Amino acid sequence: MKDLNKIHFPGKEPGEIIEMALRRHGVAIAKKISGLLIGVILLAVVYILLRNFTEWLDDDEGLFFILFILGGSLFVLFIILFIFHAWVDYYLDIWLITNQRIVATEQKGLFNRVVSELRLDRIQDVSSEVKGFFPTLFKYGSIHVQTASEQDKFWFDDVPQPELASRKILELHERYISIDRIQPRLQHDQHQHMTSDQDYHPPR
Amino acid sequence: MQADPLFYMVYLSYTKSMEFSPFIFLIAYLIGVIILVLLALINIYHIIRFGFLRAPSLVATFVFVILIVGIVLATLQILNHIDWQQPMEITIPFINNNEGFE
Repeated sequence: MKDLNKIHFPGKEPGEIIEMALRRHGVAIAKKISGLLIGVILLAVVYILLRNFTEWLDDDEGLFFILFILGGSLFVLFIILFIFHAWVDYYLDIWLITNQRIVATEQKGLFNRVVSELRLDRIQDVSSEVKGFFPTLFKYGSIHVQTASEQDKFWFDDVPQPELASRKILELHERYISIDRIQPRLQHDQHQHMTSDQDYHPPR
Repeated sequence: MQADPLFYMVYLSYTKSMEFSPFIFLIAYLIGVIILVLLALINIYHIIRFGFLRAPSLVATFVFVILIVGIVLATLQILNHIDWQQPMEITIPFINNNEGFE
C-alpha cells in the first residue's frame, strides 16, 4: 500500500508512523462475490427454462411476465447491493500497525463498527495460522495477537502472508520496548545533567 | 339422483375471477428500489465518513451506481409497453365440495 501515512485513524498521535497496513486477501472477498453471482446465474437458468419449456413468458403483457421481470430485476439489484456491501466491508476492515500500537478497525454489518487498539508493549505473543485448501494455495491465513490481558479481540482473518506480518509485528514490538527501556534512562541522564548544570556556580 | 360426470366436474371446480391493477406491482418494485438506495447510501456514507474516499472506493461506487441505474432503466424499458392503469383479470380455480351428490 502506498502512502500509508496518509491514512487517518482515530487518535493518531504526533510522531506515530504507520509501518504496515493489513487488509484481507482478495481471495476471501472473491469467494463471497462468487457465491452471490451464483444467484444471478440461477436466475438466468430459470429464465431460459421458462422461455423454452413453458408458455408463461410468451405473453409480454401477461401477469407472469410482469412479475418475473420486476422480481428478477429486484433480485439482481439486491445481489449487486450485497456485492457492494461485501466490498465496503472488505475495504473498511483494516489493521494499521504503527510504531506504537495496533489499530484494528472492523465493519460488522451496516451499523456496527468496532475500533480496537493495542499498544505494542502489551503484546505477549504473535501467532499465525494457515488452514484449509484455498488459504494454503493462495498463502493467506489468520494472525492472533496474545495480549497481557485475557481479552481475545486481536484476531485478524484472511491476511495475506500471515507469517511475514506476524514477524514484522514482533520486530516492531521488540523495537518499541527497547526504545521504551532506553528513553527513561536518557531522560534520567538529561535530567541529571541539567540539575548538575544548575548546581554549578562559577567562582567569583 | 344419478349425477352426470361432466356436470359433477363443472360443479366441483369452477373458477373465481379477480380484477386488479398491475400498478401495485410497480409500486412494490419502487419501494424495493427505495430500500436498496437507502442501504446503498449507508454504505457510501461509511466510505466517506471513515476517510477512505480514494480511487478504489470512488471507482467501486461509480460502477455500483451505474449498474443500479442501468438495471432500473432497463427494467422500465422492458415493461414500457405495459398499461399500468389497465385492470388485469386473474382466474383462480375454486373447489367447493361441501355439498355432495347422492
